[in-house]
Formats: sequence, structure tokens, C-alpha cells
Amino acid sequence: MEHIHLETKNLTFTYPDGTQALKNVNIKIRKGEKIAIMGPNGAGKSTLFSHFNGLSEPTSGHVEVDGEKIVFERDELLKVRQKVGIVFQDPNDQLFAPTVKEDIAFGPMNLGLDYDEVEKRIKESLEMVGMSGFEDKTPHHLSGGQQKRVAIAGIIAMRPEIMILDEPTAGLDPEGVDKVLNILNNLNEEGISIVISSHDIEMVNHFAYKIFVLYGGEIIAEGDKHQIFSDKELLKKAHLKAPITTEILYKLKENGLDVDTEKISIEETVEEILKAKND
Amino acid sequence: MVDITQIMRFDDLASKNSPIHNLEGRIKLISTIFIILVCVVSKEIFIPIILEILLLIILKIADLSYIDSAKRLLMLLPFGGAIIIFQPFIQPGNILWSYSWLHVTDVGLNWAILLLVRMIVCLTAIIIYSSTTPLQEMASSFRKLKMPRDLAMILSIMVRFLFLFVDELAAIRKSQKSRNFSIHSKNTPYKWRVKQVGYTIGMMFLKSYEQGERVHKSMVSRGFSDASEMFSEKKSPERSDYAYLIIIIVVVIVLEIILFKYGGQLGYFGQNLAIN
Repeated sequence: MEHIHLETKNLTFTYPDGTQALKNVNIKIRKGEKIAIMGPNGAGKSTLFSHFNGLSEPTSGHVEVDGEKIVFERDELLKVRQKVGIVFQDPNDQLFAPTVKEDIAFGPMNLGLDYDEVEKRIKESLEMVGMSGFEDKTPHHLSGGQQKRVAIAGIIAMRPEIMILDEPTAGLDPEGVDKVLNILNNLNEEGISIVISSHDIEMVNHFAYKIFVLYGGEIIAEGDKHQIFSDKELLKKAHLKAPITTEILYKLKENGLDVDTEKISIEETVEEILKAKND
Repeated sequence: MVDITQIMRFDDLASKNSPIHNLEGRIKLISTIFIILVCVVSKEIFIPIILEILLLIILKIADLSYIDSAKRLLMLLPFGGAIIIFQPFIQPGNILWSYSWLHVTDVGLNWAILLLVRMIVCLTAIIIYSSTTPLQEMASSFRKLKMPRDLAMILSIMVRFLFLFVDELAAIRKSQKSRNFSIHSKNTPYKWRVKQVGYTIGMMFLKSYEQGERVHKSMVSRGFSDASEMFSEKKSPERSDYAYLIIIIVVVIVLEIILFKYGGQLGYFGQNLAIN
């Protein structure tokens, strides 16, 4: 039987002021998947994420981690928060300790681990994000990309099984984006399920296999990236833009060439064009 | 102009490299407190003056500028200075000088001199401590010296977000400046300008509040609760750190012995200037 890591069942959330942020959200995340949740600003991505480890309590419906419903009790929540780690969008919200080392130690300390284990995890997680040697630096003095990687290390140190990242590449330069994606891919290879949110379609195109489109608090589509990205109507509705490769294939098709608009990687697109040319 | 953004400069200063900068944080904190205590209980100016000379040597070793340190001293002096300046006039004693109802007494003058000397030494010690120790190290020193957990956590978080706050404020002010706003500008009504400053302060409060909420959320997300312990590195002071503290203590003991044995020969320096 396939292992479902995280699942939301008819999740609905209404803010105290009456705004309905999430409506009947049903999501299944299987072990080892790389998932992107896409949607415009204000679609409810961050609200949805805060339900994944019990930061927010649903108005109705519930969230299950490893088949068990999240119970809002201290010890249970501690377990859930160890399993499901969230990296917030702005590293300044997360990095609060005076030094990098102390910040990374924060999660493991809360799990009640002993000092030697905490030290070990600090070293290990900094190595994983390529930030060894920055232990005693002040987070404030780091660049945006470095702050992001330290924030990720702070979650890795808790050894989560699922990592949730809210806009992990927002505001980073191309090299910073590559570094973060590399880290996420390495983590995924070690069996950690990764869920990201983004509206950067090119980045998602590189990274994720499965996509959920969230719009106005509802999941309006889910599927593999080929299906989602080639559906121009859907993307338009969700205020998103198709990848440039899809745009090119559509234009070629309009011009009478027989190409498959579901291809989205650069290699596949080039192949389609060459094939059409030779036909 | 001195403004809040200057705090960054202090921290840069404190992150330099010198034998004093490299001392362990706790040792520096303890020696600073020790010097302050010794000064406060000294009734003669002999010990504080020698300590001041010692501190000036330490200042040199720490590669700090005498001029900058003197400026900081002058900036801090008025806070206690206001109390000292009245002392010669209000203490009873033998009148040295008088003008109508205004009298300067010998007891008052001596007391004011003692207070001033004490204050200068204490401030010098604090200036050395604060210019050789980054804020984050101060926070961790307090924590290691068994400051209550909640207070230590507040201090640590404050130190971290002070910089963010300063950055945020600097960004707002920069954007105002780029739209030609100046508090001294004569082009706009005074009331309007004050209002804009008010908005800025209000905005900083709001931003801080919201930032606080977000940080708390992210802390909870990493399993934070009221029972959480904070991590502090188990680094013990080295021999050179202890040597620094011991030198200061030995100097004070030697000075006390000199004062006790030869106090009478030191003249004004060995005289008890305190009021009872």
C-alpha cells in the first residue's frame, strides 16, 4: 500500500473577521514526493501551510500526518512539528537567535536532545546547506541567500520527514535559487518529502513533479506538471503564466506545426521543434 | 549627528580583533562589575585614579581610539554629572567661597570630586566593555552567568531584532529622504512634518508587533514552549582569560594594602572624601 505522509481532509479555515481563507481543501502527499502548491498572492498558500504542523486549527475538516489526525495537545503537537518542518518565507521571521549556531540549535533543544547530539546536528545541517564555518556569525550580517540556507538548516536539524517551504526562492539571485534547489533535491534523495509554494513557474518546472493549484482558498486543479502547465486556460484563471517553452509550442501549433504542447522541458521542446521541422 | 543607526558602528567596533576583544565574554563582564564595585566603595580617590590609569592602558591594548572613547564618556557624563554639580553647594561644611546666598563648602567639593572620579572610572570600564564585546556576546555572557531563563531569552531576541529594527527604520528614512523629506525643511508646514514623523514611529510599532507575531509562530513551529531551554555553547574561559581577571584583582588588593599602610603619606589622594 502506498504510504501517505500528509493528508488534508475537507480542510476549511475561516479567519475571525469572517474571511474564508481555505475551502474544502483535499491534498494527499506521498512519501518522497516533490510537490509545488501554486497560486497567486493571497490564494491561501501560507494559511494552508500553517495547518500542516498544527500552527493553525482548522475551522472544519482535519489534517492527518502518517494517517493520524493532528491532535491539538502539547506533546502530540511537538511530535507533529518534529515530523513536519516549515521554512518560512522571510528568514527574518525565523532567525531570531544572536548567532547562526544558536538558531539552528533551537529546534533540537526544544525536542529535548542532549548537548552532544545538538552539536552534532548543528554541524551536520550546516554541512548539508553548505554553510559550515558560519556558526558564530550573526544572522543579520548574512546575505539573503545565506539567511535562507541557515533557515533551512534550522529545520533540517530537527530531522523532519516532510519539509514545507513557503516561497523558498523568493528574492534570491539565480545562483541562490540553484543552491536552494540543490539542497532540496539532496534532501529529497534522502527520502524527505518536499512541499514548496511558489508562483515562479520556471523554478517549479525544474523542481516539482506534482502540482496543486490553489485559487481563492480552493484547490482548482492538481496533476503532474505537464498537464497543469499546458492548460493555458487554467493558468490564466489562477493568475499564473505558462512556462516560456509552453508559449513557444502553442505559437508553433497556431502556425500549423504538429507539436505536442504538453512538453515543457527545454530538451523536450527542442526535440518537438526538430521533429516538426523534419516532418 | 548621533542617531540610532550609530549602534551598528558600535557593534562593528566591538567585533575587531585585539587581546581584549578576544577575552571570554563572562570574564570581561565580571571584571567590569568588579571595577565598578571597587570604585563605588572607595572613599579615597587613590584607588579609582590608579584603576583609571590601568583602564587607559587596557584601552590602548584594545586598540580603541582615545578621542572616540572620550567623546562617548562626555556623552554619558551629564546623566550623573547633573547630580554631582550641585554637591559643593548643598553639603554642610567649612565655607570656602561664597556669593550672597551661594556657598561652596570643602566637604561638598571633596564629595563632588570623589563622585566625579568614581563616575569617570565606572564609565571608562563600561565603555571598554561595550566597545570590545559584541551585543550578542553580552547576551550570551549574561545567560551563562545564570540570568533567569525568560529574561535571557528576551535579551537575546532583543539583541537580534534591534538590528532589524534599525535597518527597517533606516530604510523608511531613506525612502522619505529620496522624496525630499527633511524635518528641518522650510517648504512644508511644521505641523505636517511632525505628523510624518509620528506616522513613521507608529509604523515602526505596527511593524514590530507584526514581526513579533511572525517570529513567535515560527518558534512555535520548531517546538517552542514555556519549558524550552536555550542553547549556549559550553566554552570555558582559557588561562589567559583568568589571567586578565586575576591581574585586576591583584592590582586592587595591592592598592588596598598601600592605602592601608601608607595612606597618611599619600596626602589628598589618601584622604577620606566621603560624606557620612
